[in-house]
Amino acid sequence: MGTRPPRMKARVTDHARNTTLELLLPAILLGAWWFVSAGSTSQYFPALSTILAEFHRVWLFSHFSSDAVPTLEHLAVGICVATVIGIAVGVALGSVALLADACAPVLELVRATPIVALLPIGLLLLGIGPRFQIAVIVYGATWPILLNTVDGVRAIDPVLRDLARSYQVPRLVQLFKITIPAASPNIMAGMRTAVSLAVSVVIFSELIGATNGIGYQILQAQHMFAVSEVWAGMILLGILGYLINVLFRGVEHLVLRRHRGRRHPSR
Amino acid sequence: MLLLRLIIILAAIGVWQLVVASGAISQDVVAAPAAVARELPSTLSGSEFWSATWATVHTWAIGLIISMAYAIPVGLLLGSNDVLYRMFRFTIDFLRTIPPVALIPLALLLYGATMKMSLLLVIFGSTGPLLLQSMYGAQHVDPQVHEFARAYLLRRRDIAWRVVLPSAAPFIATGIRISATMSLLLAVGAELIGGSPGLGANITFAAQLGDIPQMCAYIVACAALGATLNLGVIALERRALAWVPGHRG
Repeated sequence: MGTRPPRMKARVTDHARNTTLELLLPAILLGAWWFVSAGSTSQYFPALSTILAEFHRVWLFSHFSSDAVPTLEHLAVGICVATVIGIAVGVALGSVALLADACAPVLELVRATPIVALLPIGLLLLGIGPRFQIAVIVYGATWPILLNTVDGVRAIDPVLRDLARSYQVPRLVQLFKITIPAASPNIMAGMRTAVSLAVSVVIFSELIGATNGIGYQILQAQHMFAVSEVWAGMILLGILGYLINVLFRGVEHLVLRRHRGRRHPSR
Repeated sequence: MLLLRLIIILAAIGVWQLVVASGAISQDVVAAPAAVARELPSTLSGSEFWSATWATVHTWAIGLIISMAYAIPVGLLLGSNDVLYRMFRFTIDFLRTIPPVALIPLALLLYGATMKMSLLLVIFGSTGPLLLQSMYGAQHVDPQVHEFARAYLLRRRDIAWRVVLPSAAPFIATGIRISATMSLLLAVGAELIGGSPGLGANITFAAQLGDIPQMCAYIVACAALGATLNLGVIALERRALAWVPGHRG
């Protein structure tokens, strides 16, 4: 240990200090929650120990495969489909400036429409069930990806495009080797929005019309007035939401390897 | 260009009409634009519509203002202090990833179908983007300007008001824009699922009555409201940030 160069050692202790700092607050908050809520008689704010016991009973793992897995599956399928649609349409619109400008008002209106307002139509159209959940995710997640892809493609250096054209690079190669990589920071920014939106929207759809899923399970608990079960569901959503975020950041890191060091778009 | 845009809008409405008229989508699910247009005048002339719109806008505005009032100062503070930033980073990251929708069942148990319920949701949802963006903003203050201010022994209060806030303003504006969209989504969502008064609740009522044209009229109203509020926020942002070079021309 003593042979380590001093600078590296300093970095290690720095890292340890930072990690401690980051974990300190959650530890304090959890501790405070645990002790303040201990022996709580409030109907709505049960003791943390009760909530955790409920979490253990419901989610580890009796309802995990019946309710958490379907939600995650729908999310995965929906986001994949939305990514393909969003990039395909986004590249097409972004490559033809006239088309993108012409469609701008319609796109802006769709973007500004609160998706939840459309859920009743989706429910009537598709009925209760997984088709509804997946369709809702696809619809909600497509727009941020599509709009960001349009921005990304339009921002590509025209010199790059002219160069590709004058060297007669085949169109398909242009698409996959130039256009999409160059737009990838924007595409990933759109996907980041899309992923968090998708999580929200799938829970919405499960609260309205589902036969299983995390949202559905929480709703059942609410109907039965099982408050600690509602809390347990929220904790699960927090953990899953965080893990999905971490997973996505890993993917982003991988995809944007070539762009590192360059300025990323702020959105 | 204006003409082309108009043509695209008309084409979109035309496709909608065709899809419904051809029976590809049943009229029991989506009303044709013509039917919605017939329905709109009677909906718009009723007081019910305006009180619902007011309720939604009210929730949206109050929720957004409350979040702004505390999330922006806290975000700026966390962003300008490295130790604080590191302390709060994980916690904020974690809380931010909880979908706000997940709060609906608990909020319903707590407050019932009231505006308080939707407010709780709106505040929870709009805090994240505001906090994050003002944190980034404070971190992006030009270090030279900061040092300059300190070298001239500017008071802390003056540094906060004249150095940190102005250079963070564009970031904060982005946060407000994101939160504004999010807040409307959550306000309508809380109304739709929880039944607190507002446009969302009226969509549900119309759907339950099977009055599809009216349901669609309310959905169109929601879209229009979303677009209007969005444009309003962008216009305000342009005004407030007119002095920032190169800002959203």
